[in-house]
Amino acid sequence: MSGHFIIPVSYYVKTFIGLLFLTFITVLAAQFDFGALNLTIALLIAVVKASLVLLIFMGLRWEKGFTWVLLLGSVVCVLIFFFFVFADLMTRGAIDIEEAGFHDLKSPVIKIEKGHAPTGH
Amino acid sequence: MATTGTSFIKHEVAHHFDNAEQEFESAKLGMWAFMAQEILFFSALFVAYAIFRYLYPEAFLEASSLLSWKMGAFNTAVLITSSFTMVMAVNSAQTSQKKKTFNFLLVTILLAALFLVVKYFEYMSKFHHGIFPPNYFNAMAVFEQVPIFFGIYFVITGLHALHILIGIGLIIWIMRRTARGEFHADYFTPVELVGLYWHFVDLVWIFLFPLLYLVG
Amino acid sequence: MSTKTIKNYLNCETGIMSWLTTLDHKRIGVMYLLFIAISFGLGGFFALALRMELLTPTQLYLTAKQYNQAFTLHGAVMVFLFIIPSIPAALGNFVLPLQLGAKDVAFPRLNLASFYVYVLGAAFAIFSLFNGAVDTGWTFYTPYSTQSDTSVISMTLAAFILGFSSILTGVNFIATIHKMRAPGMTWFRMPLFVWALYATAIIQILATPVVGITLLLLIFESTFGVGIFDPALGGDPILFQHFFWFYSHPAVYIMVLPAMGVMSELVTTFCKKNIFGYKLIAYSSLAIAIISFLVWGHHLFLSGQSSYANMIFSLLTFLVGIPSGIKVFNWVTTMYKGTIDLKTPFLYFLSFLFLFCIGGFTGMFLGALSVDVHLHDTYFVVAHFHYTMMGGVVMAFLGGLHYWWPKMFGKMYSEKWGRIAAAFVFVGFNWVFFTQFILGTKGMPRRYYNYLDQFQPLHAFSTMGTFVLGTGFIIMAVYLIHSLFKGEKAPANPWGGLTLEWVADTPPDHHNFHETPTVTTGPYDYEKAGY
Ligand SMILES: [Cu+2]
Repeated sequence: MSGHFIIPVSYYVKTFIGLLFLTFITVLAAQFDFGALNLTIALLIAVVKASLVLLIFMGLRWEKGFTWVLLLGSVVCVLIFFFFVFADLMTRGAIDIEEAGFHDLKSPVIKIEKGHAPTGH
Repeated sequence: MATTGTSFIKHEVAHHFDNAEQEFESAKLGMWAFMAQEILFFSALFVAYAIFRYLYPEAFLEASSLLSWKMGAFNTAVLITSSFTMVMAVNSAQTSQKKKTFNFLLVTILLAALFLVVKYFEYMSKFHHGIFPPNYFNAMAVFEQVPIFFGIYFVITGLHALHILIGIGLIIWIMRRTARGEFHADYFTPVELVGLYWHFVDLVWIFLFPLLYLVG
Repeated sequence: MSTKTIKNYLNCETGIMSWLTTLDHKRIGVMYLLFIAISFGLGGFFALALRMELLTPTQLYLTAKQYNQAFTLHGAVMVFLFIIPSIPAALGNFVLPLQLGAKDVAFPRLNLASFYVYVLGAAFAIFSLFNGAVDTGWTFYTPYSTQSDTSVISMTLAAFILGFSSILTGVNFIATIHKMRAPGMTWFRMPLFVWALYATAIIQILATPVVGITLLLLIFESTFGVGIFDPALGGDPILFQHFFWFYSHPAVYIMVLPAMGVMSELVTTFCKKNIFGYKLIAYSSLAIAIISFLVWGHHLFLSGQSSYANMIFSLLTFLVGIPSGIKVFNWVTTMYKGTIDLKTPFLYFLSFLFLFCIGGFTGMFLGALSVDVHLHDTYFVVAHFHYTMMGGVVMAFLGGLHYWWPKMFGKMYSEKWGRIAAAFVFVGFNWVFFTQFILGTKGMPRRYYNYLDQFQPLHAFSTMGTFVLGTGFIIMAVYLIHSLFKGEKAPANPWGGLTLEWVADTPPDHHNFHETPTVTTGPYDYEKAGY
């Protein structure tokens, strides 16, 4: 244990200030309307903040290979999760519209419309 | 070095490890593996959030405007500060500064408690306006999917608050051990691990804040 | 031998408390084994109850609701209480540190904790059994599961808790494999069982939490409402299936991968030959672990999932065949020109090889979109997953159990009765489940209480097989328990295995090895060992 690398305090202080600043930016950015970019900007800042916490506070920057594999592995899993669920959701019923009249398909599947519940009350 | 001081207790390496280095590295690896599972644990909630925000953007906009972004921003700052005091506690433990470690941990707990207090008032003001999880939801809303947002909101912030409560318990536990002088330059594994856990709690909130409070 | 008995992990401490508070991975493994055996008996009891009811097309002795409860409990007990922990938690706990040349797992206290978490989960499951049981099927699909008046909440809570036991075991194994290897044991000198447990642990950590949160959401949904699975609020019930299968497909590999690891151990020891394609088997375990995350949608082909998603998932499902095929070919090639010794564990090895191939190939049928329309939710599916789960995992579990039994308890079981029981199990299993393939292709839907008269002969035939299968298990229970008391004393290395657990005493010392072993060769170097 002796000889264990101790991260200098200055890193922590700078990260702390950076995080507070980015929180301020997040709130500030939310006051303006960038249209479709709103979410992207908010997420981008959140990712930068999260990376700061991970790399400096959690010390990932100084960790060896396998910790990175674990972490990136879990992030990749989350992305897979997102990707496939959306792959289903965004194309649900699409093939029936495309093939309607083509094979004379009468589909029982009704697409969930954006902004509306699939079945009225 | 540090262990020679009378106020510290020397750490015994568990019998199945060869040396302290192996013990420390194993513990840290195990904790990171646990962090990976925590990420996946929360992921399903984020996926659910993304789907319904995609399906019902107007409802999410309306629901989000019912939350107080000021309270959310304040709590974000509180958690970030607590993360900072936590790393300072770890750093003090690594450099055998017992008193400082203890005090930083104490501040961390106080900030955690402050977070929960703010959260409590937030929940209460929601309940006051009839904003409950869907089965008990009785507030006025333009869009009929607003309850879904709050369903997700209550589950995700509730689980996050539960993580904070567990974190407080863990910090109390390491504070007691710090007071006994168990942590010093030669042994600080539990402090470091609790630190990792605490930053994870912060990490989740960093995403929750813009997603829940700042739907624009 | 005439002097005092040598101290080992079984007799170094005595009394029930020394077991309940033990931190020794071997004792924890044995305790798991006991609980898993009880769970298997319980699940088997429900299976028998089901098959008896299905003797006739109409009611025989169970009501429709009791029938639904019986198949749900059979599934839930077998999956969550038996198969998932069977090989990793029971055999893995015992064998892993021994094979690595370590004194224990990395976190012995966490290991004991995960055992008690398992017991707690089991307690919740048992509670729900007496509190109205569950009738949703083990998959707890919404919206029915949020409306059923049976004790869905306590059963899902049980599964949630059991999931955490599994996660903690995974965390423990990952750290153990990374940090506790004996000097000289490089990654490619690890036994293949260790590789399999490693791949399993990765899935346990990355997939299990998702089912945890899913079941938690289900509990919230049925108590105060979340809305995401409720179509009345704009939620999507299919989303529950996505969430559920994101874990539960990889969970299939939490069960199968360790079984494949046992297979690699058995084939080398009983053929006295180095494994063919060591690295490919190791990598294929990792490949299976990775691909397993990409295929869950094949459970949703007919649930209303988008056709495009269906196509992607179908394609990806076929990819699983590649690493599985690599393993099967490598095992068969290992047998080629080997000195084959048909001992009981090897009989189970052969059973696995045969049955798992059938299970795997029929999985390909089901992964094909058009074929699945016909076979979905029929007995074909039931037969398919029993061929993989029971024909695969249980056979490997039994093989591993017979293989390591002498090491665990220091006693030999009767080889003659072992072979007889293996024959009964193999014949009985095929009798029950091959019949169900035929039933399924003829269109018999699964989970039906009453059925058309034309299916009765096949149903009755399948039920007859359960008695053969059951006889096999009863014989096994008798000779294994008998061996504990009256069995011959086992030598340190009864099968001539080369991995490190055979270097240790039989039964092993409390600290596993008297001195830390040093590793200089691969795990199966039979040429060097003089074979
Ligand atoms: Cu599957």
